[in-house]
This record gives sequence, structure tokens and C-alpha cells, in this order.
Amino acid sequence: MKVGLAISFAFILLILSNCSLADYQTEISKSLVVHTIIDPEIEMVIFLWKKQEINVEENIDVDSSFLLTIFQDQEAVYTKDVLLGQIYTGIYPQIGSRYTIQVSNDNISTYNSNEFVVMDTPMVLSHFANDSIKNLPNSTQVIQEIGIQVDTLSIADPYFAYKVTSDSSALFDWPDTIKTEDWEPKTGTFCPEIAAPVFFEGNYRILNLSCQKNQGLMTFQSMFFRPDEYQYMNFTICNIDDKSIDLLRQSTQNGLYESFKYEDNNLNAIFATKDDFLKVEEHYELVLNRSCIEYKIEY
Amino acid sequence: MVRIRLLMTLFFILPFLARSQDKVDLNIYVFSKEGESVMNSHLKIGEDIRKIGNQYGFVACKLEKGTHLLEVSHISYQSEFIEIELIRDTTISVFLENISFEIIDIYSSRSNNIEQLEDIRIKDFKDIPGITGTADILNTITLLPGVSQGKEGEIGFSARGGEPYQNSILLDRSIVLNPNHLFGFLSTINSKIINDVKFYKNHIPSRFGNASASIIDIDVKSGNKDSLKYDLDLGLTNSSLLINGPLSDKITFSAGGRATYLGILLSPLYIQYLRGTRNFYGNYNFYDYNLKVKYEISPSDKITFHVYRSRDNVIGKNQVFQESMGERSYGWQNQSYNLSYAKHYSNGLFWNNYLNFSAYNNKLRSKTEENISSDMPQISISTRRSDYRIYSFQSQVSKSITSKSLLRVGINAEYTQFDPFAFTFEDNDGINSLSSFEYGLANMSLYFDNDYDIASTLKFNYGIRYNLYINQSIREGVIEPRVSVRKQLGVNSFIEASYNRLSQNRIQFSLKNYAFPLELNIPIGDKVRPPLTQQLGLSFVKNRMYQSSVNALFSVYYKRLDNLTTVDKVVPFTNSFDENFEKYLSFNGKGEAYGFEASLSYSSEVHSIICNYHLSRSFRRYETINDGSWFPHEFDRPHELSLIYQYEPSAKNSIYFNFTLNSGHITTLPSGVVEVNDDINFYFFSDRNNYRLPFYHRLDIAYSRKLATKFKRPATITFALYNAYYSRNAYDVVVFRNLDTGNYELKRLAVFPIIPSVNYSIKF
Repeated sequence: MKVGLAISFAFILLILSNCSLADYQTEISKSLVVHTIIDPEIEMVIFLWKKQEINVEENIDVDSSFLLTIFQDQEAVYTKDVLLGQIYTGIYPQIGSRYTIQVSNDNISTYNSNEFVVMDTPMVLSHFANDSIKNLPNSTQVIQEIGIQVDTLSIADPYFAYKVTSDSSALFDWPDTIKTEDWEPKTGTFCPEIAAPVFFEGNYRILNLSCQKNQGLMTFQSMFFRPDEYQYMNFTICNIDDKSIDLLRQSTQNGLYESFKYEDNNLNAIFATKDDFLKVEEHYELVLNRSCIEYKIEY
Repeated sequence: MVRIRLLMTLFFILPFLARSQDKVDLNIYVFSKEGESVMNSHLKIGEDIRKIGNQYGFVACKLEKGTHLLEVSHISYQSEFIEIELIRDTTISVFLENISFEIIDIYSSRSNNIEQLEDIRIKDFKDIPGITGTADILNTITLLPGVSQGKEGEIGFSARGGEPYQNSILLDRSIVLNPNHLFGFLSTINSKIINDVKFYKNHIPSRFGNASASIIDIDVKSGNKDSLKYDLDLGLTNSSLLINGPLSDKITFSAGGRATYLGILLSPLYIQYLRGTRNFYGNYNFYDYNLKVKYEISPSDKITFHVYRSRDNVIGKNQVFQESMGERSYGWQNQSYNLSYAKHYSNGLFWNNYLNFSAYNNKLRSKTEENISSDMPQISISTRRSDYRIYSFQSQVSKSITSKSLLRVGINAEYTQFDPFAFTFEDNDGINSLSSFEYGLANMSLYFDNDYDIASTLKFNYGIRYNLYINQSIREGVIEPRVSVRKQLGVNSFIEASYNRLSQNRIQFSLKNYAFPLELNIPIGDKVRPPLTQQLGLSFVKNRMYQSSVNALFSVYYKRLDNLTTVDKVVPFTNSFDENFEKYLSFNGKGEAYGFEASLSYSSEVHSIICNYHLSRSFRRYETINDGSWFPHEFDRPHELSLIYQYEPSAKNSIYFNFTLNSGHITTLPSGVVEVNDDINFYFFSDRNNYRLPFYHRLDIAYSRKLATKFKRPATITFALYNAYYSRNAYDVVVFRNLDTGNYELKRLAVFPIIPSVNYSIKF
């Protein structure tokens, strides 16, 4: 009996020590990463990267060329052999047009992008400016509040990107980043989410209004006391599509994963969100589809 | 459809067909020596008749007039043999002696027999020490084959590849939604208050609903009738006290409480923090308590009232130059109130009624204070909270229709309130409640459940449960047939096959903010469908092999899950997870799980070994995740082995070794990276649950010594070591760029070191 038990135990140990060792559980494919920003009337620049695999020997050849084709309303408007890297296409997207991108090569499966519709710019219907809090009863220093009402029919979803490009009350000509940070979305008027996405070039911030009944009203509050006198400022307000939101959310979470990893115990990296970027079959599609307007507020 | 109706009708009337007129009723009430009812006792008469008692210690059968030898047994008590001569309907009381610390031969072959697949020996979960040196019911259950625990420090377990929320922990029939202290290291169910426990994962009878993977059915002690008794546990970090006894001839009670005093131990650090010589202070508190009162109106009428509450809270504070201060607290609490009334009619009918209220919430609160030294410091407080409340009423009648049948028919009405996304923000301007969305769900259930012995060696349990789910968005009925067949293969072995269809009225998932999970319970609706599980199981039990020293249980199962919902896009809960939550979910998922389980136990006078092993897989498939392909479930553990060895060289000393060897946990790791420039890298994870961590292995050791106190009160001191050989198990792995070589490497993170503990227990 004891021999039988010992043999059974040894058998179990043998199974355990040979099965399910630490490893990736799925086959990892060779993937291209395609990134571009679709902005009406601004040249489409495509970045073509290879995904550098972890723990995989075989990889995409860095020197191989790829056939890049861009379709506008299902008609090829750009076809060229390109290498990995930055590609200026000379294509200027038109509002309402539909674009797709195709990348092919003998060694990889063909990448056929999703279709991107170039969106309308947001239409501002009205705005308001209030001096909500005074510093002292007779002071001219106030905390200000600004509301911008956008036509909800002109937006793809209740997400916006915004930045402040000029502000008359600024003592110095600060960079856009600082001007934008001076105007926080008012607590209670939005659902805090992505705030400042690392991927969105140009110091934009993201505003999610999905938890608000009127999904087109953006309300901002000045972070510091400002003079109670004539002022103006320029906002850039962008409409962004649903896939772009996922891109921005994922890029932000990705940035956190990257930064947390270098902490002493990596614990926060483990708890970081681990969703993935949008994939089209094996390949990754990092396309930011936006449409922006400049809007000046005077009061 | 017509065939199904015919089959249902046949099943329902089958017990009545075999009605006999020439027999007399034998009613037995089974009590412990202290006078507490022993639920689920076993009655054996000759080789042919085997019966199982109900939760009030009552077991009945019809017998021929004449002399019979009865054996009344329970897995946690010593068996009692009684010879009785029946000439008319008879009612007797049987008192069983507890197998406890005082009994040396605790692994006597008789009490170690596996009589039912759901049995768990009280001794097992009261003896095997856990991380705090005290034994724990949930930790013991996770050692069983087919049960997979989450990572260390994460709550929840999976039974046979199911979702953690598909397990239902019932405390006197009230559901406990998060039964974990210390992030899962200790359960909120104090083992000392447990009178009996059953763990259903193979066949779940139709009297149980809203649990499609497993049921842990716990009966709480209602107090002995002799005298006041005390049971005190003193540990390094927490202590517990149980008092039980009579209040009058008809009223007994039990009251148990447990609390930690980490706060007191950490008070020097808090003083330093207040003085400003320390910038950070952290603390952890938990408590739980139970109070149960039983009033015997008459021998056939009983009322019980049970209150249960538990709470965990972790708090961290930090300050910068005594100018700004940050505070974050995270906690969760359970509470349940249960009022039950049971009546036993003279014709053998039992009528049980339960009125329950259960609630659960968890909360994360962040507070910051700026310019503390100024006249008007800026204070902002944000609170995110998830609430869940269940009101239910259950009524059941049960009766032995014939000597071969015990029929139960019942109704269950339940209303559940969900408020998973409450968020408030408060600053100098006042309070601003940003979101709070309450959902309600009514759930009506009807069931019948019959134990039917076709022959002395062939037994059925079959039943049907009908669930009706109603709220603003759905009105849906689900029929759940459940059946098990048991064939006795000689005196010491049997085979049992079962089929179960089960549904659920809620889903649950966690959103994380760093290490703090917010448990969100979401009601079913038009998009979140009621999860459905179908399970086929087959088990074989062989007792008393090799000179009656070895018992064995082998099971295989196949499980299919439908209508699953999970998180598609993970949004940290500090973000906008609000009434638009469905946007972040993936619906209509499928699951599949299958496995083989083995449990072997060996016992002699000084040695006892329990070896549990399973070989199992669990997969999921959602259209929007991993390109719609099957992927391993986060609790998928192909191999799990636990080996518990107890060496008891004398009546006073015991040594325990608990060795665990498991397949690694499933996690999600980047499979590739793009270096955009020197300071920005993009990681690509490819697939969810795409990486299996290295093997997990750990040894816990405990030494217990029974002490003789001055007044001969039984006392025990236990020294325990968790992770005794300091196995640096991977809690997780991160992809790490080696700054010297530029290569990407995998780096493991081990969190839990050796943890020693001491516990002193005394009864008086």
C-alpha cells in the first residue's frame, strides 16, 4: 500500500512538474503598428512601426519594404513602397470623405484598416462666463466659470478634446499646457476619466460628458483668482470618434504601466489596466480621428 | 414540451405511488451532547435503509413493526447505535458526542468515512491553522479538489471553473457577499460559531438558488442547554470570544466576536505621525460578530434570530511639511439579519420559514487638505461606494411521503437593491453627489426537491426550480432541472452521477484602483443576461481500503456556462464608471470547464494524511475579447495539489504540515513593445490572460500543544509558520526594460514572506 501511495504521489509530481510551465499561452504573431492622425485639411502622416516581440526570436525584418495604399471613398489615392518609419503621404483628408489604409508585404498578412470618416467640426451654439467666487467682498479678484454649449448633433460621442491657446489675463505667454491647466473642468459637470492622454500631441485634455444629461455643455473653472475685467481667450475644441477614445484611454493606461514598472516593487504596474490597443487581425491600428475648431470667448 | 410536462408530473407523483399502509413512523431528533441540533445527520438501519436528517436534526422514516438496529452518525460526531422495538409511531431523541480536542482517536475509520460528497468535517476546518494561526473554513474549502483560490491577498475562489460570484456563502440561509477579512487571508465566518457546514459543488439541490457554481451552507450554533460556556482565542493580531448557553429552559443563545488590535500595536507610529516626525501612517482594522438566539416555544415550534456583521477597513495617511495632508481609506462590510420559524406537525410535516436581510458595501474615500496652517485650509473629499441589499422570504414544507421519499416544496421571494456607482465629492463649497444609480430586481422562485430511494442501493435526488426575474427591463423565467443518482456498490463504496442546470440573478466583478478592488454587483437586465450553468458530474467513493485506513473520492465533471458578462474595457473605478457601465462590458460570453478530482485520506493513530489533487481546465469566450477566441479563465489552474499531514505523537502534541503545489496563475503580459522615442514606449498585450506564472508552492507548518490549566480547562497553544521555507512565489510578472542592455526582460514580484503567528485558545 505504501509503495502504491508513493508511486501515485511521484506520478502526480511528475505531471505537475512537466505541465503548464510559465509561458505565454497563445501564439504571438508578427505585427505591424500603424499610427496616423486624421485631421481635416491637414496632411496625413503615417508612422509604420514593427512590434518588437518579447521572448520571441522571429520578428519582422526591419529592412523589408511594404506596399502602402490609401483609399479615399474606396478609390486608391496613394500607392507606394515604403520602409518602416515616418511617411508623408501628401493626402489632405476632406470632411465627409471615407479613408482606409492598406499595408502589405510578402512576409506578413495584409493590414486593411477600419474605415475612417472625416468628421464635422463641433458647432458652438453659445457660451457664458460667470464670476463665481470672489476673493474678498470688495475684491476684483475672482474665480471664473466658463460654459461652452456645443450642438450635440454635430458630435460623434460625448467626448471632447480641448486646449487653451491664448488667455488675455496671463501675465506671461505661457505654453498651451499651462494655459490649459489653468482651466479645469468644473467638478460635477463631467465624468473624470482620461484627463491628459499621453498620446494626444499638442497638450490637449479630454472631457467626457457622458454622465451629464446635456452632453454638449462644457463647463470650466479657473484654477486661480483672476482680475474682474474684460478678458478674452481662445479655446481649441475637438470632436473625436469612439475608436479614438479607446486609443487615448489605452495610451494613457499604457503610460502608467510603463512608469509604474520602474517603481521599487512594481506593484502598481501589476494593478495597472492591461487592455490592448485596437487590433485589426494581427496588426495594431493607432489612428486618432479628430476634427477641431478655434473658438474665442470675450467677456 | 408535452414530454417534459409528463416527465415532471411523473417525477412529482412518483413518491406517492409507493405509499405503504403497514408501517409505523419513526421520528428521530438528533442532538449534540450539549443539546444543539445536529443537522444533516445520517441514519442507517440494517444495510438497506439510509436517511439524512434536516437542518433541525430531524430524521424520519417508515419501518415495519418489530426490532431494528439504528446507527445514527455524523461526520463530526461519534456514531450512536440503538436497538429499538417498534410497535407504534415513535419519536426518540439521540445525543451524539462531539469529536473534539478531547478525543484522541480523531481519525477513527468510522467517522472518517465519506458518506456524502458535500460533507466537510468540522475538525478539518477547526484544526488546520491558517496565516493567523487559527483555522478557517474558507481556507480549508480552498484546499479541496476542484476549488481554486485567487492570488494571495485577493478575494474570491472558483469552484470547478465557475466565476467567483457564482459561489454562495449562506450563513443560516442569509447570503454573505464578501466573506473575507485581510483581503482573503481570513474569512469573516468565525469557525468557532459554526455548528455544521455543507459544501455543494457536485450536485446542488433545487432548494438552493442563485448560486451556479457552489453553495457553502453554514449552520450557526444556537447555544447549548447545559450551562454558559466560553471559548477564547488569543492571537498576535486578533482575538475572538464565543459565549453560548441557556438563557432559560426554552431559550439558548450563542454570541461570538472577533477583532484585530493592529491599531494598538501600531499606535507608537501614529504618535510619531501626529508629532510630525513621521510622514506616513497606515493601519488595518477588522471585526466580525454573530449573535443567535433560539426560542423553543414547544418541542415542535422553534424561532431563531441571528445577527451577523463584519467590517474591514484599511487607512493610510501622509503629510508633507505639515502643510498638506492626504488620507485614503478603503473598507467593506457585510451584515445579515435572519428570523426563522420552524414547526414540526404531528403528521411528520416540517414547515420552515426564513425572513432575511443581507447587505454589503465597499467604499474608497480619499481626503486631501492643503494649507493646513492657514485660516481656511482647502479640503476635498471624494467617496466612491458600492452598495447591495437583499430582502428575502423563504418558506418550505418537507415531509416523508413514504419510507422511501422525503419531499420538499418551497417558495422564495427576493428583492435586491443595487447601487454600484455612488460617488460624492465634497470640498469647501459643499457636497456634490455626482452619481448614484439604484437598480432593483425582484426574484420569485418555486421549487420541489425529492429524495427518493428506488431501491436500497439506488437513490435519487431530483427537483425543479423555477426562477422568475423581474425588473424594469426584463421579465424572464428560467427552469432549472436538477437530478442526482447514487448507486451503492457494497457497504463501503458508491457511485453518484448528477446533472444540474442553474441560473443567477446578478453578476459581480471588480474594478481596481491600484490594490483596492471595488466589488460591483450588477443586476441582470436586457443586456446583462442571467448566467446559466449546466454541469454533468460523476463521482466514485471507496471507503475503508487498506485495513480500513484509506478513503478515496474520485470525480469527473463537465460544465458549460452561457450568458456570461465580463469587463471588456477596464476602467479604473476612480474614473467614470457610471450608469453608462454597459459600454464597458462584454455580453453573451460562453464558458467551458472540465476536470478530474481526487481526494485520498489515510489515518492511523498518530498519522493522518489528506491528499487532494485536481486536473482541470476552464475557458471563456466573448465576441469582443481576444478576437472571439477561447482563452483561459483567470482561475484556470490545470494542476492543484494540497497535501495535509498531521503527526500526533501524543495526546497533547500535534504537528501539521500543509503543502500546496499549484499551476501558476493566469495573468496578462505585454507580448510586444514599440519604442516611439527614448521616453515613450507602447506596450501591446495581444490577448487577455495570455501568460501563466511559474508554479506556486508553499509549505505551512503548525505545532499545537494542549495545555493543562489550573482548573483543568482545555487549552491549546499553536505556533504557525506561513510559507515556512520562504518560497518566493510570483505574485505577478512585469515586462521590464533592462536599462543596461536595452533588452526587455520578465521580472517576477514576490510579495508574501514567512509569516509567523501564535495563538492561544481556552475553553471554560
